[in-house]
Amino acid sequence: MSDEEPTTPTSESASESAAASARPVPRPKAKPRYGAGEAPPTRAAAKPTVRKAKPSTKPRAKPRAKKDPAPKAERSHSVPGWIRRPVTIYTAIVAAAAIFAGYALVAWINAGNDESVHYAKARDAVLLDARQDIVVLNTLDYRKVDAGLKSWLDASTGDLHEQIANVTATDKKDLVNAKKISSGKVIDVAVTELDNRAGSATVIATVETSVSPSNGTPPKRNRFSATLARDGSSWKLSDLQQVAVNLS
Amino acid sequence: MTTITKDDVTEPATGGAAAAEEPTSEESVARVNWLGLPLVCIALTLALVGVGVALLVRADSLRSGSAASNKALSDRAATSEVIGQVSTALTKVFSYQYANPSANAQAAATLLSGDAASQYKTLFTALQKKAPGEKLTLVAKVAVAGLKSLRGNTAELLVFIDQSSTRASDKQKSTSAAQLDVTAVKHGGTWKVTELRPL
Repeated sequence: MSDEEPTTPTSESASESAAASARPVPRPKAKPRYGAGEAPPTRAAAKPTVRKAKPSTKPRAKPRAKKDPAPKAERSHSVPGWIRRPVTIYTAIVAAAAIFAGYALVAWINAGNDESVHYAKARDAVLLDARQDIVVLNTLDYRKVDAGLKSWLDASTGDLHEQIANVTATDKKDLVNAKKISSGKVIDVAVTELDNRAGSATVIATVETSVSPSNGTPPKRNRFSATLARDGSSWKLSDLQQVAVNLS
Repeated sequence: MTTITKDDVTEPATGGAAAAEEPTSEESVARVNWLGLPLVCIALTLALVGVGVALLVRADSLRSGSAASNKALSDRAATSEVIGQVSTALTKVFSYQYANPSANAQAAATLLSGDAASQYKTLFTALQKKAPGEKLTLVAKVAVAGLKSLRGNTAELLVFIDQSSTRASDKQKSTSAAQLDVTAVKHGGTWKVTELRPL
């Protein structure tokens, strides 16, 4: 026993130092802190049992000394235990997420730059603006001829705009004297051509025009063909014609 | 021996005291260190995935929005195909020769379906009654047709039709301008008119 006693502590301390050195290997950062902070309590807990139970515990002391700090280490950083080591796994996960985000970004940019998407939006914009502009140009109140012609100008561009701008005072007088209120309503409209880059389009429309006083004539439905040109952010009429019957 | 044990006892005592105080702060520091990287990684991953999903949803809504899903005009080949086939169909269906009514009936049978087919039947029956006596000839021509929407196998068109009717019996000739709202469905390669709505 007396032989053993002195050797046991040395062997233990040796085993502890072995354990202490074994611990830091996978996590080098822990070495200075835990070597001082943790080792003593474990030794205190381990020693009495070693002494009381079995004196010749060279091989046993080793696993115990190792065993004890191990759960403590696990407890003190239960999360880092498995988390912190595979840094590469984290890098891989973040990298995968980054690749996904990059892919999504490219998909979004492509969708935003998709010519057919732009084209489809332009087509719908043409439909909407054509509808409004055709209504405007089929609507006039003899009591508000100036205001009416002003809105005609706003709805038109190019040749049609010039024609309207050139309406003379006598023309206006005639309109006032006609004492008619005409209002147009677009029943249906379809785009037949669209050059989004050039900013030109043609549409066809069924327009119902009602004139009051009607004098018994019912509202008439007319076929119209119109060309539009992009003017700033909106489309405006540059031509508006009735589609005549042509069976030649 | 005793000194060793004393040493061993005292050492743990101070060590234990130190262990009671120091490690808590050290552990927290350590935990922050250990958790720091994973937390950053998790946050980064969640942020990237979140942004990615948001972008994909946005991209999808751009592509499958109501404007983009309507292929009218934007799909040039399909657009001219629909307009061409529907125009031909309407020209045949609205042209009629009292001498050869079966040509018209045949065209209607192959080019119309659904509501348009039943609509045509009523029209055709009425026509059959008076046409032979009047020696009626109808000639139709599509003035212009516009494709309003093209989604999958369904198309909607606005069609302007010119039609002349000639009565050989009294040599009366008249022309009319029609406006039709047409719905067509593609059945195995060919477009059939399923609805005709005069405007």
